[in-house]
Order: sequence, then C-alpha cells, then structure tokens
Amino acid sequence: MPINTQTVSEWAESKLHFRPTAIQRSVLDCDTHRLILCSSRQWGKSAIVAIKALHAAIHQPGAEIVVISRSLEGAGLMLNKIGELAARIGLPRPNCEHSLQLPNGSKIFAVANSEKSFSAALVIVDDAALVQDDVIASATPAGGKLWLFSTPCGQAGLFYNVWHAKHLKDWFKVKANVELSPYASTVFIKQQRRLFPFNFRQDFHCEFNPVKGRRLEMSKEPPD
Amino acid sequence: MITADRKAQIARENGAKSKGPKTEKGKQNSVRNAITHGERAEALKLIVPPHSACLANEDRQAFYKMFDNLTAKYRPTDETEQAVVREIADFQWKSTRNKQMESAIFNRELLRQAATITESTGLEISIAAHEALTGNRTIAELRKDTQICLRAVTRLQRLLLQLQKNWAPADPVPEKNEATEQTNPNSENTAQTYDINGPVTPNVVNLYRDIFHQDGLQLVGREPNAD
Repeated sequence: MPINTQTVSEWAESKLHFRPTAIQRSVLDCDTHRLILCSSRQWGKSAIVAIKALHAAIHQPGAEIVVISRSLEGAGLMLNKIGELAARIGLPRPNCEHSLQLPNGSKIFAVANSEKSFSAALVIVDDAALVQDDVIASATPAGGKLWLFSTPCGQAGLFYNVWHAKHLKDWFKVKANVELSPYASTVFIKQQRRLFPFNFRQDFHCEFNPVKGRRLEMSKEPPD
Repeated sequence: MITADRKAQIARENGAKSKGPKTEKGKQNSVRNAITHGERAEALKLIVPPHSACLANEDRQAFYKMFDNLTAKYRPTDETEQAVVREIADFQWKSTRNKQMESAIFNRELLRQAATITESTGLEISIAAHEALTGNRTIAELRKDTQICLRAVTRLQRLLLQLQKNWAPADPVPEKNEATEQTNPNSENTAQTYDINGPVTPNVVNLYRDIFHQDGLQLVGREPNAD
C-alpha cells in the first residue's frame, strides 16, 4: 500500500481545487492534538473546518468526527459544505440531515450549539466563541483531539480562556486578522468599519470585547 | 518535655474555651468579623471612603446599577471609553439629584402654603407655592446646573461615538513564524478564575482540568456569548 505523503493543503489543492493562502496552509497542515484559530470574519474559517473534517474522515477509516456549529442552521450549512466538497471527489452526499457517512466507515456529525452530543475522537468547533462550553465538554473525551476555530466574541468561554492562557504548551495557536484574509477587500473593510464601529475591532482585528452588560473590570465597584 | 505538636494542641484546646474578647479594644477589633456583604450595616457607612458621584446620604448601589446599565448600553472597549461612560454616569446622577432637590423644595412650599391657606383647592395651593418660589435662587441654580449636566451628557455621548468610530485599533503586531503565535513555555502555571460560556457542569470542570492541567480551578458560569 503506497504511503500517503501529501499534506492536507496539497490534498485540498489537488482534489478540491482549493487554493489556500500561506496562513490557511499552516492551519490545514497542522495536525496537533490541540489547535486554536482566532481569525477575523470573512477569513474562510468554515471552509477550512470543512476541509479538515473531510480529510480526517477520508484518511482515517472508521473515524467519528463531530463538528459543532453555533446554531442548527450553522450545523446544516456546515454539513452541506462538507457534502459539496465530498461530491467533488465523487463521494456520496449526506444521506442524513445531521451526518455524513463515507464508504470507508467514517462518520461526520454536525451538531448545533444547543445539542448535547456523544463524544468523538476528533471534535472541531466552528464559531467556538459562540458555542457553550458545556456542549464542547460533552463532545470531547478526556485527552481527545480538539480544534477550536472562531472570531472573537466576548471575554468568556473556552475559546477566550484557551487563547489567553500563556502556559498551555500543547496548543498550536494561529491568529489571522483581516489583513490576512483572502476574501475581504479594502472597500469591504472600510464599509464594515463605518457601519459597525462598535464591533469592528473584535470582528476584524481579533480583539476580545467585553460581553455586553459586563464591565471591563470585574471589580464590584467602579473606580471613584 | 512538651513537643511543638503538643504545644499547638494545648493552645487549640485553650482557644476553644474562649468566650470572645472582653476589653473594649478587643471588641472593636472583632466587631466587623461577621460582616458578609455590609450592605445593611449602618456603622459601615461611616467608614466607606468618599465617593466622587454619590453624596453621603445617597444610595451607592443605585448609582452602580445606573453605571452598569450605561456600560451595557455604550459597551466601552477600553479604559478611555470606560472613563467617558463614567463621566456620563456622574452627570446623569447629578442631574437626577438636582431634579429631586427641586421637587423637594416645591413640596416643602406646598406643605407650607397648605398650612396657611385652609379654604383653597389643591390647584390654588400650587399657584401660591409657585408664586412664593418665583425668584428663588436655589431653584434657579439647580435648573441651570441641570441644563449644564444634560449638555455635558450630550457632549460626552458625541465624544464616545467619535472615539468608537475613529480610533482604529493598534497596528497588528507581526506574528512570529509567519503569523503563528506560540505559547510561552516560561510562563507559570498558576491557578486562576475562568469565566465560562454557559453553566458550569461536571463535564465542563473535567474539560477545563484536562486542558489547563490544574486541579484548583475556579470556574464562573456566565450568560452564553451572543452576537
């Protein structure tokens, strides 16, 4: 049996005709146990999640992969995206509303934020800042593979805590703000800055704003 | 010979027999030991340091509540914006106080007029009170001050909008190894509090233990993040 020496990015380029940027390539080719991507909006997170999930399912026969999204619609769209990519290489489209089973026995389950799912060896979380920690926790077994992808949203939750924990040596952290986005044009960025000044820094420069209604400082009394 | 352990045991036994401090100084030392939050402690009000917005007779919790509401409304993202929100809170608080004082003065005059004019209707008493207070310097000053406060609030709101709109974030720091950020291996692994997105469940505790490699984790459940 020939040994597959192709990286994920090379596989995506040759099979799916997806041309990743340098930073997308570094995320695609990273196969660490723990991965966290903090990126701006319009960076291509969901595409990367879909490619990584499909690659893992194809190359690890019998694998069970859980992809958690922020909402039911998000989970459906994610499964659609994975299904489209699978169809490009001649694999069957999803036969079930929430899962995709490949001929090699691998399964990809798309789970919404509110659902408690069973655990799987690989858990990929799209929009991790908007997914409740309990949902991630119930899907991730002790020592399981966990990849978090998100745009910042609020100063709470697993995504925020992991990103800011400097002592975690086993996490591969990647930051990609809007300057590194292959999809966001200068006009689009200017328009967003004008239309959404309050969230611009969070959405496009990977800064974590305090949660609405919560003070910057967590002290009980504001400074005199 | 008595060992150190035995000495400590004897001290604990003797300590358990204590019925509390007897001298006035001892009682003063322990008078605040049982205070849990101090919100209802009358004596504690006297030792609370002075406040820039609230006067001694005003309800600080009401001020903090208003400040919280304003923070939720304006969503400051850094110290500068937070300082502006704090200024808005100060001026709004002052303007509310001025209006309350004006009402109090008018009520006092109404009561005085009601005592002197016995055969009149409520409306006539009000007119009399109005006439009596015409030219009252205190009311004029309060109204003037209220207008100043309201104008200041409007100005600060405009300033906040400009800050949030025009001040772009700092240039992104160049990433190491082509935009990948590695963890710092020299940082210390210290126990700290983590804000959780959603409720704290046994699953969450286990996940945080697994990820952060800490046993003494303090997890605080928060309302789930939303767009």
